[in-house]
Amino acid sequence: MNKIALNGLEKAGDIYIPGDQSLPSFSESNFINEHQRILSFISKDDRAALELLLTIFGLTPLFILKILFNKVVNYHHYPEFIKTLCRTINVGIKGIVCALYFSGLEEENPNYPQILKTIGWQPKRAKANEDLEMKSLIERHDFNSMI
Amino acid sequence: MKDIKLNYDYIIIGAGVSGCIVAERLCSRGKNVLLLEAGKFFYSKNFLTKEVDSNSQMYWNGGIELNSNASIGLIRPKVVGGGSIINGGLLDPFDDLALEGFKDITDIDFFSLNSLNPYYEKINSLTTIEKIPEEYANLNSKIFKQGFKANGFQCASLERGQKNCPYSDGVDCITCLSGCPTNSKQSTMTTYLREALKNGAKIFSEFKVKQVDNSSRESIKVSGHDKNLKQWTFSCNKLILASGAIGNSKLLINSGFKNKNIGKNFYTHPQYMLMAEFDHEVNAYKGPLQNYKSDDLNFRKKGFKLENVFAPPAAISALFNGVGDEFFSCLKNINKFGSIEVCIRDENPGEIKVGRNNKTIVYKELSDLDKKKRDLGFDAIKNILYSQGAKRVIEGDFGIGLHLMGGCSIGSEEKKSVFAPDFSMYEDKRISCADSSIFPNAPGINPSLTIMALSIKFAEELHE
Repeated sequence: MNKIALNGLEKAGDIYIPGDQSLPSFSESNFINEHQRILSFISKDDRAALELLLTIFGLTPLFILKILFNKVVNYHHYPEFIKTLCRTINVGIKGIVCALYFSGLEEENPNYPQILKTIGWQPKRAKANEDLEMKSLIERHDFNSMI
Repeated sequence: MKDIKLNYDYIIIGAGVSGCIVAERLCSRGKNVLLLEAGKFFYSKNFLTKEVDSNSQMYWNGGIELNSNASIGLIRPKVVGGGSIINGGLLDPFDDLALEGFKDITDIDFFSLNSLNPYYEKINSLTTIEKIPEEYANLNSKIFKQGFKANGFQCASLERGQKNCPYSDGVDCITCLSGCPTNSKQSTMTTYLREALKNGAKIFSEFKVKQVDNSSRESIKVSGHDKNLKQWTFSCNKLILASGAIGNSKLLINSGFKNKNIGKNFYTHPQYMLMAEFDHEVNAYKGPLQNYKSDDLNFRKKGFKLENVFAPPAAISALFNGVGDEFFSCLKNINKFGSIEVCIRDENPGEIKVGRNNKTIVYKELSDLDKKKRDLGFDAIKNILYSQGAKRVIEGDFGIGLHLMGGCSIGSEEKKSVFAPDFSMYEDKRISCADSSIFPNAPGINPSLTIMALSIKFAEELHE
């Protein structure tokens, strides 16, 4: 993704996640460095459309972008085709930004801010079984492990 | 590579709920079976633990697909074990109302409790189904139960496929929505597929099927590519479709099958989660996550059900409105929110089509009647939550489609359906299907257990 598009994502991210005294804004968090963890798995067409949209955001002054997003999330009285566009932008951008910000990536890299700890979201995951039987079955029967 | 055989008795496309069960049944009879699955093979230790990774790697198109007007997000698992890996493990049999609805449309006699009960019972041989213990219910669940009582509604404990879940260690089941690391959740990967592999089944994970060629009388050819984009063509005597409503419909359309019913009659049980903010902490992520469902005949007749649910922060973000502080403060205070969802028995069918560049297009909207069902559910939820002290209830209009059904309906009449009552395809008897894509309408009940029952019935009755 080009730099202008990444800048567009940071700007849009800050509109959803402006930060406060206890938590950084989206751009301050630096989670954007992990954007490929999402974008690599989106279809080629959707990725191209997203990059174009984010590039436009990157070239748009922040105050205009804020006005635009206020319109985007208050779409209920628009004609149907504009509603569809607004919903798509809202779900898409919010989804990327929040998945990067609220996934606990700080557990992998201490340089990232402690988001989940700060908001108190700390579910306990059970200790994983080894399941050596399944490991062996996959090695012997999944062609994906033979190619 | 020399170990990779190209010819099979049966090829099953999709290693989800139905595919794994059919594979186990066939392999137990000595058949040679190949499962082709687009998703990755995760198990115990290597399940993904970060929401960003599980969303993007365990679902189609990076986590969510939108219907044509972006009002419903379609959640389509792409992983070995399918929906049984990423769901809450809930397993409910259909009731008379659901089965009578199926029978009315299809004119198929086995859509009755008498006929399906033996298959529901057979599921217990490999799957442990338990009531979720009340002593571990979290506050979100207690709010649900007490709110039902305060409003004179009936609710019941949920049952799910689980075995030795370590609740007493303080484990939070919300973490298992990206796969259960202890194998407690009875996914078809950890139960049926395990047995199938022990009995010699082969699987090709991360394999994308592109085309089915049934032009030869000798065999059916299935082609696609592996994760390295290497092309493969496998052949079989019989082909079983098990990649769900969208997967099956898309493959049949792309392969040039002519039946005009393919892709039609698509249902999703649209679900709307209402978020309620309380003055105190709810910590809805704790414990078993879900404990109760509505068991109210009045709700059932009106076409909706309620469940106590929650989800991790990134998923929950789709339900909060606005931008800036209005939005951010909700996520920051996520532990003060509880949630109840309404799930609609949708009556307005959608349609699955394939667009330019092989893009899936799903036309699916709520009719006025569906909207009325949703709104009745909203009213009931608000009454429940406010009776338990909620400060405010956030009402969203974004629906989630988790139960993707139809698109390849079963039925007694060829002109109205794709598959015949013996589960074979009208257009080619060598091709069969018993997954949710054959559903003729929305049952209004979690479909997993009935997909399992129908898959067992189909596989056991499959003739040579």
